[in-house]
Amino acid sequence: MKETPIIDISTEDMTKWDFIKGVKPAEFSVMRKKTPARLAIGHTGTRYLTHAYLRFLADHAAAKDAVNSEISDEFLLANGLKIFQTQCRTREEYIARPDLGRLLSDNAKAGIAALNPKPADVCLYLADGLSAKAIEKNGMDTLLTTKAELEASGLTVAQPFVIRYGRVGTMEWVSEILKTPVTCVLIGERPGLGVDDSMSAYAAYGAAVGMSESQRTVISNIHGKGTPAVEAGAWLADLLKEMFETRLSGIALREKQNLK
Amino acid sequence: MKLKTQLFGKTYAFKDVIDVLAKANEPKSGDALAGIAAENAKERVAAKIVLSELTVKDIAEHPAVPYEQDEVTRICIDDLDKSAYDQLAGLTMGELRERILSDDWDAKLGKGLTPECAAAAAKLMGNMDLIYGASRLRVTATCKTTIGEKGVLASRLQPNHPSDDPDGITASVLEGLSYGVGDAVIGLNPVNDTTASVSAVLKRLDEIVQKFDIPTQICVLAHITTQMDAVKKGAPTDLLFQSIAGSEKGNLSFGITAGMIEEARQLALRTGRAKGKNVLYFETGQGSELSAEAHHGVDQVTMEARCYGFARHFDPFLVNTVVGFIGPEYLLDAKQVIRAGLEDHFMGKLLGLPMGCDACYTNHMYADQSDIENLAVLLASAGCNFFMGVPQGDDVMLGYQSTGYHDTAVLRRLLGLRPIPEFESWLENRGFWKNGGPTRLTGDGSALL
Repeated sequence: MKETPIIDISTEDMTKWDFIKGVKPAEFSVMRKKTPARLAIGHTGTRYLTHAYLRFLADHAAAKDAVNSEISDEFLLANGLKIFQTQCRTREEYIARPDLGRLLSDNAKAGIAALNPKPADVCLYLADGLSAKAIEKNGMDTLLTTKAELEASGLTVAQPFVIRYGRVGTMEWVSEILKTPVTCVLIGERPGLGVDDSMSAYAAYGAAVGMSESQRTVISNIHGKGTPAVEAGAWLADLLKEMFETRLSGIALREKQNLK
Repeated sequence: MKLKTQLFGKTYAFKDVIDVLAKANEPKSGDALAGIAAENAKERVAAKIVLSELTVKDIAEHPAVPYEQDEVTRICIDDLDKSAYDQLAGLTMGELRERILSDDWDAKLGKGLTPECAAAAAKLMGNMDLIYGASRLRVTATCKTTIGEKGVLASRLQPNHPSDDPDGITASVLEGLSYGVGDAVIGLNPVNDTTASVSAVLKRLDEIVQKFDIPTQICVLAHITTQMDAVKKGAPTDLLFQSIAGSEKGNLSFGITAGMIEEARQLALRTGRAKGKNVLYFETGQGSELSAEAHHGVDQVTMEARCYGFARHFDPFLVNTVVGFIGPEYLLDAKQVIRAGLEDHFMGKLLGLPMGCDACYTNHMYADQSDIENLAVLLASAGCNFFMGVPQGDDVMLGYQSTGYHDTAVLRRLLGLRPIPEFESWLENRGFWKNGGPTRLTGDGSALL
């Protein structure tokens, strides 16, 4: 006799769960469908049912694994990318020391300069951040779309690369090395329970060490269930072009956009 | 003041009171990040020994940030109860620790302690000291109902939503109520910090509370200026909320001053529906000053205590540390988060605040749901006023995990605690709770429809 396989609980749509069999299920489900919160999960006594408990563990496991994920050699090889490291020596150090995750190692500084002997208008690069998985999944789709659109409009784009154990603040150091007017990092976001592959793009005009956070422009939530990577790439290209033309970013750019 | 000691034949000397306080801390990644932590375990104990010989007066006269430079320091010193202070001033910190843990500590004496003294006492305590010491410090506060009575454990219903959708929020509120969550406050962290959006959510929460006649408070945790604007334009609210820090510079990074908080308090007293005088809600958390580069070289436990010194000036209804929200660069793992939660609750209660706790963690910390369940059990034993109630602990807006609806119900049953009395009657009348246990309607958000 053939056994029925155990279902993959990670694929279940939790908004359709109804373990409670309430008194007015139809009325409740109208509102319930409008939130991704873990509702109608039921209870045994006052504890969780096994199914809801296991789904929570599965989602947390995915988030933990994403935090611990590393950019693979296969990814680098397939995309012809070089990887450089910040001053963090291990992922554990990266987690505990955001200051070191902003600073480039000497090897990284030299390597990034050697990769780009000629000046460019824009530098686009990848950093693992808190989810290398997000970069492997979305990074190249966004990067190649943005790069192609920038080049089509006559801007030059520096040779892309990857930074391991990198924070957003590596951008200032990269910008000082390459002297690109516009610098943009695509970085893995801190995973939530539902989403372990979300990426953000942070960009600034004239990024320099010591600059204010308010000079950064950010597009977040780039992933399959948020803004898809290719779509984000087109949007990002427009934004970077505008930064290059207006010589503005962050709050100053937003204020100018609001004036229009 | 003696700032050095011998330990195992080695001399340990410290620069000043701030250095002693920092090095006497239990290990925290944030103090290491700030470069002020003890270098090793022996130095940490040496600092505790030196700290134990400093007097209440020594510490009160050396505030973490100078009086002239900092509004928080001025509030903390100017608010001191002179007669309580005079009774305690000559005690060493070692003696103060013993007085607090003895059977004849009078909770009113806490008004004679500066925040730095509360922090120093915590640094000389093990976890059970922090739990037991706090358990005998009941602090009540009254808005529409009264929180903090002995034998009562309340909870905030936190129905957060990724786009502030009123219907989605309502679903979370209704289900939470059915588990007995929401007697401290029904309070939403908004995505959109605009007057229009905050007003719309407040209006919806108020409709729910009015329609079902629920004896509780409502609040939307936007920036305090946004809430004030909403209230001035007619939005209903019971509590005004703000995140606060332990230094003037930290508060400025949150866009607030003491003057603004006082203005908000007056507005809430004038327009709100409170029966009592407690109309504010504050959140804090170790590490927020360092994160804003506003820590003045002072350790995160001491800066956290200074938040409480600032908070008590305004007689809040709710104060809670959001203990694990800040991330591993400040609190690395479960051990550090549990320790911080116990310290914060103890220090707040000692200084006279109605303390609760958001027992929580982020996905890049070395902690999980079981760890914060541990913290919740420990803090409920310590007499913590309230916890958060989030659907299965998963906050779908803020992207972190806290305690779930079910956890409040379990903590009450486990430790023989009850909801705020009026709310308990409401739960029983609505059929959600009976004889201290669940009914067939518990967990059924549709039962109120």
